Amino acid sequence: MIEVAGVQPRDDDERVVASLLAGVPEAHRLASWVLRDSVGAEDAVQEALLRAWSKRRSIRFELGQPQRWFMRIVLNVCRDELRRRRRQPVATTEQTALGRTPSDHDDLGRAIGRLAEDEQILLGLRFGRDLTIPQIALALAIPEGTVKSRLHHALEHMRAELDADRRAEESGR
Amino acid sequence: MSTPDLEARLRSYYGTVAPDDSTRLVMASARLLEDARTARPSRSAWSVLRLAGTLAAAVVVLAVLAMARFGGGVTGPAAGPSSPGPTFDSTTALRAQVDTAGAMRNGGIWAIQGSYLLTSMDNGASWRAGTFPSPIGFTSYEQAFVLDQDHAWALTSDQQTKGTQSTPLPGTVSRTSDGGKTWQSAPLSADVQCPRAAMSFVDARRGFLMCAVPSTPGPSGPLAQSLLSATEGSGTVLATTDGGATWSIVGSAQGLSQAFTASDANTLWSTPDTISSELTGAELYVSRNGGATWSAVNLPGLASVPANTTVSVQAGPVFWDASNGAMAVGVDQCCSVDTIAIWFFRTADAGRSWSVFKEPRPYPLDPLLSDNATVGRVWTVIGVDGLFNVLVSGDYGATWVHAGGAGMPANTTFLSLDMFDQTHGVATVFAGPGTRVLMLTSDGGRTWHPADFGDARARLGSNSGDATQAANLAGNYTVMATKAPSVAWSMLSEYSQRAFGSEAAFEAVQAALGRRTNNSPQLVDPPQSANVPNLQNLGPGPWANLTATADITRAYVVIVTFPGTSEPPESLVLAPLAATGEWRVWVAAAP
Repeated sequence: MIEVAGVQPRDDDERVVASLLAGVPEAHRLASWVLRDSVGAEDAVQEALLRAWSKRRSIRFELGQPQRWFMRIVLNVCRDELRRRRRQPVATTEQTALGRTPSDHDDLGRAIGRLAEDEQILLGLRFGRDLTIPQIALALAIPEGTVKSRLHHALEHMRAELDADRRAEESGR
Repeated sequence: MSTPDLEARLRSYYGTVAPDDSTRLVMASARLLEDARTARPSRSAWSVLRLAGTLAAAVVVLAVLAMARFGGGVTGPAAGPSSPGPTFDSTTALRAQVDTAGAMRNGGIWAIQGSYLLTSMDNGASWRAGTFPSPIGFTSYEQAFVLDQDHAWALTSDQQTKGTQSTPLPGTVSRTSDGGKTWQSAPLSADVQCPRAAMSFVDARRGFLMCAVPSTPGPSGPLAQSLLSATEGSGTVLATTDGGATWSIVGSAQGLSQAFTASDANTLWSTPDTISSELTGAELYVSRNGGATWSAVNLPGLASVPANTTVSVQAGPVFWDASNGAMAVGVDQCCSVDTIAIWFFRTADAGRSWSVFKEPRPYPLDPLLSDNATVGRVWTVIGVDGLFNVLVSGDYGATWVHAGGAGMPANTTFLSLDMFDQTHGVATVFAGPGTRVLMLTSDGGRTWHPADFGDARARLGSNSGDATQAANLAGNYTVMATKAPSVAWSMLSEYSQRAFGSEAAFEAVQAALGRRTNNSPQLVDPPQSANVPNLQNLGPGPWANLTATADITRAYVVIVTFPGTSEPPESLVLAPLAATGEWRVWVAAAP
């Protein structure tokens, strides 16, 4: 008999651990594009792991889809972190995290940071993780039509934010 | 700015946010979870209960209580995820609960259900029952290897930590050559200690035991991890040539793990765990001298993957005879959906050469989910999201079909799966908390049905005139049965009641076990209220407080485990009411 994923779990906790660890690389990629911050993404993944572990007994039926469930937790942690960042607007972490110097991308970074959390997640999945509309719908468990409309609104809001920045910059000159 | 221009800028921007070094994060995460697992302060509160008298080590599977507690979890699931066909039959599934199950190399099916060993040689149409030797029933920390319908081995830990940690060795190897009618036991040397173990026999006399120590990641902290501070796993091989009566150490090596099998009396295979693999780059080790020395196998294609590729063993190694074997490796070339794939390796010449079949991804994939794979004698299986969406290939990746899955419980996953041929397969699945069910297919996985063990267990009980056999059967319930036979009888699961035939027969078995029952466990340290903070009544009655209403001096403490679920062990107190002497059960709620 072959055990799932070759991990040959010896008890259910081990099976949960194996499933979670198998999802860590993807979780990190996902969180990185959503948070636009690789270090923050590591923290988010580890926070998500702890949340997943603490909830493992209460999600019995979701055990059938442990990684799908884990990715949902990761996105929830990212959403919380984005919300925290909006409440505490400090200098964006991405510059220090990525070691970048200011560039022509920075206006985008600032504008994205002012969008609603769900819009930031949506953009991260669409343009960072490079998911298709159906894939995003599956990932977020929402209809494709909802994805399309939210994406449309997110881009409109982005355009408005960029325009506002440009006007502010022009008026400041 | 036009929408296409904005989208192009966004893609360019997000391209600068490149994740890196997931290996380091995986290692840190492994340590994080290990810390979370071992930090179980709530368990200490139960130490008094757990250590009470000779019951301290008693881990009893109270199937009937588990059913009462979790029965609702099995009822009502709809059919499998997509296919029309039969719906999951929860009533039938309750009778197909198993602790573990698997496929024999000769095509038979075996299952362990409490104190029973069940085998079938006709794809589950009929079953034969024997006993399983563990005095406390099968737990997650025991190992079984079933060679054929007559020959089986069980590795039972001698540790007193069942339910809390996996430490199979030192332990005892029990063996049967008559399908479980009788068992003989032999302790392994106390010199052999390891946290993981696995057995593999090539015939009735020659077998091996891998005693493995897993790799360890570096210190905690997301940025403090590195491969430099990790340690590689290792394994020690024990061998027997007399069917398991005696064992001797034949060799040891770095990189080995409990993912292990013997393809003939001289050729052994083991795959490293993920961290060990990252440390060395090896994905498979072989010994061609019976475990004395080991060397890495050069699997085709893996040496030339890009440097930032994560390679990890997904399944195997599996050998169904001396020549034919397979394994699966996940290859993740960071960081695109299109470059994550599973490579299947197969040999038909005892591992002297290997062919690689790369997963072609001809199916819709949830990009947020990684794949799992199983390999077997005929079919290769890919499952997405814990094998939730299952595809099977009969030609190792050239063509794929959806397995369907009608008849499976909804939202479940395979714990194990194997296909014997193009049509017949066996799987163990969760059918709700506490219910691990053996499912069978005879149409290539399109439809599934719970196994039907028929009256095999009842026939064993009624034919039981053997004291050892009776002891094995009753062993699970000795603790409960000692002072209140009627209570214990009502607690037996349906299959156990059928096995004994009647309450009178059950009491007769208890009488036969008089020596054991007379040595009745006493509660050395009565449970104090501080140790039983949340008592819940089970069953009718006005009692609300154990210590206030029960005769504690006659109480029993039973630690109940729930195989097939992440539920923690549960403490039960069985005690007579001080006022009436009527026996009752208290369930100590998990803190």
